Amino acid sequence: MSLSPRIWVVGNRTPRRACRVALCATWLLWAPLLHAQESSGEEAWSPPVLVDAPSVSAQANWQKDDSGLRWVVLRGSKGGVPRAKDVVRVHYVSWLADSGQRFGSSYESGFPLTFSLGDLSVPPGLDLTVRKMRVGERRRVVLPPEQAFGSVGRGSVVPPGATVVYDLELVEATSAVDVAPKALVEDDVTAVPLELPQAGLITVEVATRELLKLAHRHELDGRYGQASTIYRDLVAGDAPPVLAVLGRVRAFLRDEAWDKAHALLLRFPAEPSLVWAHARMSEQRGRNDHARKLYLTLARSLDVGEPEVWLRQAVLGAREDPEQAREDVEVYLDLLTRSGTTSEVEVAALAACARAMVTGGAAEVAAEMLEALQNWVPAGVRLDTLQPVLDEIALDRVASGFVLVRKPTPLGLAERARLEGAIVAVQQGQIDAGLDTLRALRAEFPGAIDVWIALGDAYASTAPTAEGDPLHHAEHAYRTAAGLDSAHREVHARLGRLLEEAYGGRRDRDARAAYEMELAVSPNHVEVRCRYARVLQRMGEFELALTAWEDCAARVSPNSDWAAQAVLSLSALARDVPAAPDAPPLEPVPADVPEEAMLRWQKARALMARRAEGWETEAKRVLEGALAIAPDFNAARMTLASVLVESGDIAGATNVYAAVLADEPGHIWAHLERGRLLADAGDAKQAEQHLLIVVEDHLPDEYSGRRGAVAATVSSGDSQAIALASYWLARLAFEASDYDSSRRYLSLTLDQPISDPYLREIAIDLRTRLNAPRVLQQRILIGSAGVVALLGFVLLVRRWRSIDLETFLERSPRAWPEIAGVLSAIRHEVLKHNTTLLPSVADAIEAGDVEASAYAAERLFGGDNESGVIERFNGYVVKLAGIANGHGYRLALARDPIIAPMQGSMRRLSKLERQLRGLDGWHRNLAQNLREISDVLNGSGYTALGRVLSEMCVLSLDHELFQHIYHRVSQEPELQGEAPSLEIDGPYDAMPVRIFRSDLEDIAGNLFRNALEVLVRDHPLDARRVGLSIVEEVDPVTGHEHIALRFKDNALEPFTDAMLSGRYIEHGLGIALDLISRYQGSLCVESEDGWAKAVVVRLPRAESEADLTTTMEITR
Amino acid sequence: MSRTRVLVIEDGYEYSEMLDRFLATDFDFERAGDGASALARCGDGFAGIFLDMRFDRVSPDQLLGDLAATTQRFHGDVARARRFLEDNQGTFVLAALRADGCTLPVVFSHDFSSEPRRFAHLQRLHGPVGYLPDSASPKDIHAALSAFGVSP
Repeated sequence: MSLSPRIWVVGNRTPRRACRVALCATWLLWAPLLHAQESSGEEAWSPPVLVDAPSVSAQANWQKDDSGLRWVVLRGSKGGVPRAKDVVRVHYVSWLADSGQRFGSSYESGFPLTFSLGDLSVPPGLDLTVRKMRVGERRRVVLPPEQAFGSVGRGSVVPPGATVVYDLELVEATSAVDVAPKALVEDDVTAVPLELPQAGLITVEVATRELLKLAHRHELDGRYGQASTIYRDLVAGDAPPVLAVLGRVRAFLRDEAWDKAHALLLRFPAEPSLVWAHARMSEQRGRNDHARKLYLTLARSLDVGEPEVWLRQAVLGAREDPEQAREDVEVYLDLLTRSGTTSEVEVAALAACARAMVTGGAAEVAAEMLEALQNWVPAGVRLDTLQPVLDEIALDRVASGFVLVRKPTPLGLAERARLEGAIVAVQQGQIDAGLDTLRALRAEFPGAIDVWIALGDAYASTAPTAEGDPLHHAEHAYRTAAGLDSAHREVHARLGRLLEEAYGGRRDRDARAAYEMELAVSPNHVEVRCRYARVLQRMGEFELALTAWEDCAARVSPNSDWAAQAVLSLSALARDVPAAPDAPPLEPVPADVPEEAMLRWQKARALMARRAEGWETEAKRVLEGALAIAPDFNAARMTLASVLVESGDIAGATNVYAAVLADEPGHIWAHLERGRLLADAGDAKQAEQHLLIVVEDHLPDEYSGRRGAVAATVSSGDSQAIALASYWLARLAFEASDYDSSRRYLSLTLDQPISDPYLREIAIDLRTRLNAPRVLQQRILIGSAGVVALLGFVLLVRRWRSIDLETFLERSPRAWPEIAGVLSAIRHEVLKHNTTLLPSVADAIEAGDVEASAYAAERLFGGDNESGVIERFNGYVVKLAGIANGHGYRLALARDPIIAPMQGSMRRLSKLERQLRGLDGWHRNLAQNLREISDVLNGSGYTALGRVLSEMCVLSLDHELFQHIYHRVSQEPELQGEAPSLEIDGPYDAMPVRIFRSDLEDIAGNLFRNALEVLVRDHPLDARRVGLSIVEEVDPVTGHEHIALRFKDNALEPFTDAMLSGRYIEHGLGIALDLISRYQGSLCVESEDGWAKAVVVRLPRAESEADLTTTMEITR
Repeated sequence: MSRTRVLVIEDGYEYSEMLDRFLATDFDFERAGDGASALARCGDGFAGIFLDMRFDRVSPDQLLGDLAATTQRFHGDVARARRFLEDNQGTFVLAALRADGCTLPVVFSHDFSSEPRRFAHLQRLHGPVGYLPDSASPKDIHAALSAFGVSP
């Protein structure tokens, strides 16, 4: 395939971050393949958190499953269970069941085993077990050979047919998407071109991106062969993408082709993520020396800012070189602390490092390191896990209590003299001698900050040797000094200088942090401030750099190199910021302007470009300072005038332009700007004079004479000034209704090459207006009239189509249940307990009870976190309107006889809030107002709502209704002429039931039909009987009345209540049940004398209209 | 002199708070939060009972009434059965009180004005019972209690 030659960076993340993402993904996928290959030559040690070597037979409570796995839960957990394809992190220790020989552990490295469930990268029994574990759980599992390494075994570590035991701790389970390389799962990744190929970048050619995504999906789905083929093709190119290399390496590892993976990785010695991967692979295979070399490469040249690199090399080198390992750990901790991820300190790994030191015979060094650890890590950060390690390695001195090794210690006179001698020696080039003295002093006075600083200086000026990189020692010395006294002046500056200059920009982030520390201690340290600005600029933090350079420019000596650098940087940075519209071009700066004034002017321009909050005041101050130094500095004056215009001081700006013109009468921009300001201020005559000066050479003769008294020798202005001036002249003429002149001026404007799109737009707009002013006016008039008429019509239609609540209910019975719910809520939630208080509150107010008023206010208007009833009422009104809209009607709530008075009362009540809360004091008529409001809400409003609720969905049941339904059913084609007559008994009088007629017809029709179908099918005509009894019933507890409709027939088909409970939908009873339930009714099958059965429908009886009362009097 | 004590049976605190605030000069109001508490206290020398109807803020096991039977009646719909018990809990409490021998006058907080037949049945079933609509003010409650002979 053809690959685009263009280089892209995936996403907008930094190269280092992208590198790390890819690295993690790589590790996640290959770690499990490696774990079983760990060197068996390492000395055995028990896992720190799990029990000792397992005795399988001795374990009680073993559980089994069909797959042959046996397990016992060592520690339960309530954590979550991983989902299919989750990526899990598991700590493990593994033994051979027969010999008890340990062959793997993740605790030693501190890195849990990580794999995707179902990715076949671990023994199947392990995968099966982890699927059933909860996060945080510990489990011991015995894997038979078929669930472990089968009849093949695993190298020399696991013999063929071996049963193995794992102690597992499920640390974490995360979604696979969360941990997959983000660049491969995000479809919206934006590729950003970058032209800076350098070590550390993940470069992905755009044409291969899709292939990488495809390969990754293959891997996730277990199609390793297809993935491997894609990776192989991609890696075959000259500059393969890092992700492809990693994929190819994974493929090799799956095939246990270690050498091939090794050979491939060796091809990329300058790619940090691949070197890291190589190191991890070597480490896991027991090739520690090789791994350590790779880590050193990363730490010293490729990936210096990554804490983990330092930790890994410390762990690996702890036995051979404990002192170096301790320093590496300190760098690691320092990087970790400054990157704000201290909580992620891998204490277990550090403990492993200490353990290795002890094994190597350097217990004291281990003790020092752990003590230092106590001082580096904030309290409470997982240090509890350290204590067992300390106990275990018998570091009594450390375990008995942590103390600071290094306290700042002052030097005596004699030591001070030795120190000075060493510093001089280093300065004179006798570095070795100086270093010897300094090292001796360090050993004697480990808390002497000056010794550490001098040591840092000495190392910084030392050439690299075979023993190691002196820069690393210098950094360590400076950091130690900073640790002894973080408020020391200069130490952070030295560290920052070292990091900034020695690493070619790769450690600018660290240098910046050091400079920030120094500036916090010494804010007036000009050099550091300038260096800080330079680092920011180099890091691409242009906004911050601009501010920093402005600070520098204000502080630095005008003649210093830093001043020149500041000016250069400020103008470079200012160019990146879009200029304000219509800003005059840069003035040529006269050579005789003092440097200080020029610097201030530059700073003001930078402020103007940035437009940060308060920039006008600051810029004005700076410019006034510049003009105090150089009063005739017209460029500064022009800028000052612009600033004044921006800050609204038009008069001041006009005066400044006048001052410029007094000094330089031919200054066309001053004429232009002053003319525009005067035009805006309404002084058309003076404005025209100034503007004509700008354009005079470009006008026909009859106009050039109009410049009047302004006598100046003006060279022709540039096209931008001419365009602006002529536009303003055209506008002035237009406003004076001199359309001909306006057209001529505007022609001049449009003849110029206008670069400002806004000016072009307004000029064209003016031309349009000039060409057809009357037509335009007429159109506006007609259009306006049309809009008004349309609005009026719409309002009329809306009003005409609006209906009140009761009309809506008449027209839309289907809306009754919803409306009833809202009206009930208004009664129950709004009125009950709340507005009902109003008369009592009125009494209390008249009695001077302040608390009663406040209490009522709380209920009505709400408190800190609760809404009041007024708000709830308004919500319900909106809901009513919404329901009506849903049924195609518009409620005229503002004139609704039920709702409108309540709304009015609520509004009236709202206006009394401050009085009720006691904020405005009580007014004389407050109590009376409350009583009136109560009358409306609790009297007529409450009653009206009750009436509407009562009248809704009440159906009168009588014999005719049921005869009608029965007749309709019996006329259906299948039943026509076959149905017997209906036998009805019960009161003939209409009995009210709360149900829609159509629903009752559906229910009764269904039941009649069911009976008739069976009768017609199984019984001769003369033996068919269908009956209906209407019976009133009273609930002995609740007093509710029901109407029991007993649908009777003599069909012999078995039909029981159990069938109804099981939703006997074949007979349409499912629908009937739903309907009956909707009306709080019930359905059952009962026996009936003289009949085969009765299907009984019970529906709540509504109170008959005659019984209803609207009074509120107490009833006994 | 001992003051007239009224037992307020409600699942919330609205009535007891409101009555305490506005009628405390005339009565001592004491609250019971559910049917069982009310049964335990009804013999404590109260002059009358003020009884809410809907108890939708108590836990299901505090509701009086046979949930299983009600569920069967509603075709296995437990939620509906529970809602029925909640909506009518006042009548269940009243029935339990009467079955326990309590003959105190009871004023329902429920608007029976649109259910006169039901209210008549309740009077017939449960003896001296009155009611006040939800919109009743403290003054109305005072009047209702007095009308039942529960006077300060």
